[in-house]
Amino acid sequence: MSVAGERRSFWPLLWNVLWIVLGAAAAIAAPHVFDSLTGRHMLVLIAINVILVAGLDLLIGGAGLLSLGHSAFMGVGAYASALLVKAGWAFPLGMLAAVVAAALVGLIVGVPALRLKGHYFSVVTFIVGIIITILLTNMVDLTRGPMGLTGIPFATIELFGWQHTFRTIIEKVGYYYLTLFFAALALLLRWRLGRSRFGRALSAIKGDENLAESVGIATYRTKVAAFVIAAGVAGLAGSLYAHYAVFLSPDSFTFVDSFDLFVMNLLGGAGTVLGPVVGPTFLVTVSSLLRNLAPALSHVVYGVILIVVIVVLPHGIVGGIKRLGARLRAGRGRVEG
Amino acid sequence: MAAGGPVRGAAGESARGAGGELLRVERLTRNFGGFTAVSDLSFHVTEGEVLGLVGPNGAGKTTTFNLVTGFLKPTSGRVRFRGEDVTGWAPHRLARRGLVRTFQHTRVFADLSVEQNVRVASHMREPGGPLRTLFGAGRLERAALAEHVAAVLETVGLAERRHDVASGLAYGEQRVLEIALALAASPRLLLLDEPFAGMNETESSRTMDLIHAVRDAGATVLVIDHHMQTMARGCDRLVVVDYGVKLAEGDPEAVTNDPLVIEAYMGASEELRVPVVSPADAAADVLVLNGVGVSYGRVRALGGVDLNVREGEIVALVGANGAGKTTALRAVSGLLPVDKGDIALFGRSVSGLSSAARVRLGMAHCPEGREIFPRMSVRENLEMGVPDGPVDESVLDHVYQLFPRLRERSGQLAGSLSGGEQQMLAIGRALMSSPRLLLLDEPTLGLVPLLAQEVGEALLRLNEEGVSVLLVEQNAVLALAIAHRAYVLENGEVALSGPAAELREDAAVRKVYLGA
Repeated sequence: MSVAGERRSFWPLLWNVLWIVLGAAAAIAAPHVFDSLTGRHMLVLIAINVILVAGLDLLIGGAGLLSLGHSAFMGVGAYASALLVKAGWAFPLGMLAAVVAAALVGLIVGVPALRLKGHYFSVVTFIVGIIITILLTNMVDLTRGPMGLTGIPFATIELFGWQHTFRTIIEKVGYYYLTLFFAALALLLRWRLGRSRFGRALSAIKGDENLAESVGIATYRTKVAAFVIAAGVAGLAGSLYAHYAVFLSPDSFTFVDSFDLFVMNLLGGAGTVLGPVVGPTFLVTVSSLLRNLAPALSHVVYGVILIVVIVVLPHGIVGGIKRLGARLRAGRGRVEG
Repeated sequence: MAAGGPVRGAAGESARGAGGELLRVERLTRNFGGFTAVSDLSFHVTEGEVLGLVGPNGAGKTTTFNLVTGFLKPTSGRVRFRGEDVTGWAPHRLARRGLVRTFQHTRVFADLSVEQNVRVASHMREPGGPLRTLFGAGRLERAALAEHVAAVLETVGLAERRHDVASGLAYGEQRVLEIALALAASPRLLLLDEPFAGMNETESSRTMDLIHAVRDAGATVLVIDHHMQTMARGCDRLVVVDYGVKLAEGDPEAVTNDPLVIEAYMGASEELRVPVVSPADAAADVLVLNGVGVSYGRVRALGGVDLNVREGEIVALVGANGAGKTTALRAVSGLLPVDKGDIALFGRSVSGLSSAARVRLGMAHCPEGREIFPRMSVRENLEMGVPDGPVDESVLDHVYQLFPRLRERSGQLAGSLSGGEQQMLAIGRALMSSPRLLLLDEPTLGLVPLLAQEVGEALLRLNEEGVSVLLVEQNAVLALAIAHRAYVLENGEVALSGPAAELREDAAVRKVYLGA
């Protein structure tokens, strides 16, 4: 990480550009390599999860806030967008409304929950996640509850007279690129936030909240801001999901799904730039393979993966590789020096 | 914004003797349940001075600090800073007005580099806002911040370590970094909580020099510490508190001669008895270390130490911070693996034996830092010292005889004991397994002389009953006063050893240990 005043050296910069170009190329080529409907379906799911995890990582990797109810905010965004577009709103407006609605719920939850510290905060987010699922289930007049919301319009985009409707049931590539665009945006946002004054304030809170407070950081307000941003990003993912699946049920936003996001974040590497890409890619792939082999086992395997991550890879896949690289470089430096 | 010095004191004018009143504490009181930690305390800090708030452990110093800095709300009383009533303000708001503190237990951002630490702490210097967040700060702003960070690091002398991770710094450097973090927040008034804790004389006086440098750069400093000599030497004025009440106030000379202060501080200053019963040279060894080496990863902490403790002996292990004393104890009790040499307890080699097995042989280890169970009563804590089987009432009674204060407080929650009593409880718990060899790590750390002496006397009584003791101590004077023999460790090796009485007079020991 470059720190104030340090000259940015040329090689790491080139290295990063190379990575970004390669990654983008791979992401763009992916639906043509995995060109079955299932393969493309998985790619869309991965991209949506990348958005979710990039937002969640602001809390977990950024501020050390273990939020365990994150998929509920996705649910709020999904229903908001689905209902409004169904009522005649344009898709981009519905998406914007999803972000605002989820952020607003995030504010309502975050203001009291962030008064609590550590495990208490995690437990409250966990319970709030369950409560939101219950509300989505029981507000039958609005959400049609457990019967599920059907007839959600496909996403339609109009740009300078050009119009396109993403009929995702049969045609997934276009929608994949749409989600890919927002995933890239979410990663960019996460990266920028991490390197800003706001991100440094979060990392101070993660390191030692009292110390952060004592050097003038308004810790509570900063945490609430992060929570609202993360919820808003989840709302965006929810909207993308709603108009992809064109069917919503509260079952898609339970605490189990929140837990999956948590595992994806830790597995990829909390607080790393590429972690939110690696975690969802790995887990979505593994879980879809498992669903074919042994459906009942998939969450058992998630649990095992989480344990392995905690024991073997406490910094996730990306964190582990970075550490290994640093150690190799240090070792080489010693031999040469 | 004036880039340049880290401190935002009155620039240009001679800060010292500027005379304005910066902080005024009026009749401050704080109750915890029925217990009054700070009672009707009033004092003020004048701009440009170094004011010391001194008092024994448990006197209410840290509570006062927490009240002034907004980490606790007072039960009654007011705090005025720069003429404004700031009672009950949140800490970050006070920090923005220029009132910045450090903490008693070292607090730095452990995972960040030294430079990143200071950068994070420069939060208030850094412009924010959504546009800068998304697109980055301007070149000039970045340069100004970098200059500020560099100036802070230069002031405290950590510029060369700026790329090192904070958790990898030596203890003394971490404490300096802590001060750097406070400086990065550009304080008008800097409050330092026990900046000398765990430091030897050299380190203390270096820290005091740093405090003076900070003052000369224009900040005002309020320090709390229980170490009277260091404080009297370095502060312009002292306020002495005990039991939450102000005992004395004034220049160091007058305060240290105040009879009330002397009594609270030194107690009836009786010399410690030197151990009378010296074990015969032929006494059997209860502990032998034979060329013992221990490493942490690539760092060799202990390199081939030879040491023995005979039956009925008190042996002191002294040395500067980081010399390997605690490592040696942890190796003996089996908490750290030995990669070289051999350890024998009561005549049998213990390599491969677990800690629990070694305890069953008759050894007990009392680690540094008074590790007690705060939510359990004193008696329950003592019962935890019996690993298996019922508690022998006669052993319990014996511990109570050794530490009568523990009997008085047997039903009280251990967390509510004072530091000295907690230390006695930790030793008492180690004694519950009726050990023949007691390993003690820094039993007087952070205790005022009166209580340290009490702990020392208990050790002597214990020794007279035939218990052998291996004592690791920062307080060399005390350790050498009560030990029969001593070893001086330096960089993981035995630098000197011999009868304690001789080492006490040895100039080399003073140099190794006291840096004098």
